[in-house]
Amino acid sequence: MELEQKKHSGAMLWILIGYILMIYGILIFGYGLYHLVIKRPFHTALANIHPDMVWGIIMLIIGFLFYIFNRKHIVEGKK
Amino acid sequence: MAIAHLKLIDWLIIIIYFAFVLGIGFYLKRQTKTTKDFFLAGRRNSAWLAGLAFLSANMGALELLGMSGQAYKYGILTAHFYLIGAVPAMLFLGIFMMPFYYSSRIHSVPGYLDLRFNNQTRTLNAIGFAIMTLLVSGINLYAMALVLNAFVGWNMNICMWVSSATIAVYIVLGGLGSAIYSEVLQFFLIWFGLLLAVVMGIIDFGSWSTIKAHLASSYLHLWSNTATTVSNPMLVNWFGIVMGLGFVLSFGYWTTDFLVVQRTFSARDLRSAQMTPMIAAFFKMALPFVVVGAGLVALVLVQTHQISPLKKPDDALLVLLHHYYPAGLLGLGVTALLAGFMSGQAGNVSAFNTVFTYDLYRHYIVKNASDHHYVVVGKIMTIVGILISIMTAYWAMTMPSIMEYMQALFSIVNAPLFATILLGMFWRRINGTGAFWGLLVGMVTSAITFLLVRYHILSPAVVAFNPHASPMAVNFWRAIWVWIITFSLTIIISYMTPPPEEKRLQGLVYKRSMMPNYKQLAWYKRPVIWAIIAFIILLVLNIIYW
Repeated sequence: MELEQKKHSGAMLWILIGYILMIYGILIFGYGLYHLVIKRPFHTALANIHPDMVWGIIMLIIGFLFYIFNRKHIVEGKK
Repeated sequence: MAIAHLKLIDWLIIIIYFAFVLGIGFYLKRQTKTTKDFFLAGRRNSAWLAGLAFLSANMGALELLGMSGQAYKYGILTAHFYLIGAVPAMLFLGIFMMPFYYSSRIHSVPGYLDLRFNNQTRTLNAIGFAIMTLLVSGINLYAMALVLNAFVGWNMNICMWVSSATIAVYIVLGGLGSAIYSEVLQFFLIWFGLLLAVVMGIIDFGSWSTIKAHLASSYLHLWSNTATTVSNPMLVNWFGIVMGLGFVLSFGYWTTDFLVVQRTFSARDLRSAQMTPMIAAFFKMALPFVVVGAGLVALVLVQTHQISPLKKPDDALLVLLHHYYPAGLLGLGVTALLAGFMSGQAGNVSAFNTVFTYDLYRHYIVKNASDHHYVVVGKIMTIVGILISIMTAYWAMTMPSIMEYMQALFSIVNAPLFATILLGMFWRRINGTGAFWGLLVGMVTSAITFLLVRYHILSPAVVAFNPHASPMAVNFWRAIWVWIITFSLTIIISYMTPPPEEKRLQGLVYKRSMMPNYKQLAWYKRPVIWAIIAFIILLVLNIIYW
């Protein structure tokens, strides 16, 4: 029981990290997409490869994986 | 350096970070009721959580900016700080020292000195550590304001007060747990926020080999150019690197500095505590890719005239962010730096409140109060620690040369302490009198030597055998001398005075039978297996970049 509570507590942090990565991923990807749609390029080096959109997607996927893999500990902890 | 301009999206990303760390504090408030919760994070953390916090406590933004600047100046030699200058000590801590630290159920490193030696030794270390921690915290705060003022034009006063107030709130609410959680968050922000800059540099030049082709050979080796002090840009020879950095400074920091060791105390059991530095060691060895990589990419960008020469080497990482990161990513990069600065300060303050409450307040001021009383004292000392940090930051503002002293602080407090603790853990004959006087003389010698060389009263040749030795070489050598002095004096005085009582040594001095045996566990759960794997990777990296 105590071990489950400890796991629950740790899993909350991983889920929080999952949330923040997903939120950042969506924001960064969305802003890059917005710039692409309105055809206003950034003036930074290699802007043509859209690092913001690529990195935003990567953050979103990793954040989602954090959420999925730790969700079960939270559910078990609540039981 | 051109100032980067933040857009609304960047501000949004920064504000979300602040909301998350405050949210962590409020979430942990419910679980933070006793001293065990507040000062040891309830001893409920997994090895992963404690391990990432252990590494992050050392991975502050000041360190990242400084080390990428060193890589810009010295090349791959800088990676020594992440390899021999960290990994062997981390593995030693996990395998040999953690059983003593963790099993004695102490709250702080000075607490071990009290159990093993006497109260004087504990108090001496506690005072030295408290002063060092608050100075480092204040200088860190000043550095944050300075960097963010130069990079994104933030007002220094607002920057210091807003970040300090945020830290005060979440540490008061959640204690060490808040510090650890924010450090783990920082770990991910730093990787996601800064790694891309190096990846973009590699994409820009086509490959890592192309970047290396632009650099002089002396920038690309760890050992082959360290035969003499003049054969490498760092002006340090292999002996200075191995003994000064790899042994005394590294072991002194990673095995005795309470800021990092406190993270291991938060682990849920001894095996997790032992695994904590192992996990950290793997990520530590990966960090040069970001830090050294950033310095080298910036250097090649300057050499190929894609950016103007840096005003100072420490700007290397910032220049990369400015060069490659569009809006949104820039906000992420600034948040990573901000997180690095803030969690560094939070780590220092949480270590300070523990040492003050347990080793000074509880021992000298109020001895037998309730558990709740000490939690309140810990919270008050968090705010006091933050305020002293702010005062130190303003002091540093009027005296920028104070930054130079920070390097010396570690060799004053940690280098002699490593000799004391090493002898205490592995030699039964060492007593409290020897430990106290050895430690005191070691600390005083280190401070005096630093000041004499700093003010040109003593030639660097006396300390480092080279009149033109770099400050780093002098620092390495001073640490070696101080360690030898403390080590020898502690043994001599111990043999001149009565031996310690045998009952005092129970569980505090090395006995083979005391080492935990994990034979019943699968191989991949045994700390020693991971220590061996980490050590092999360390060797391979050194051979590849020999």
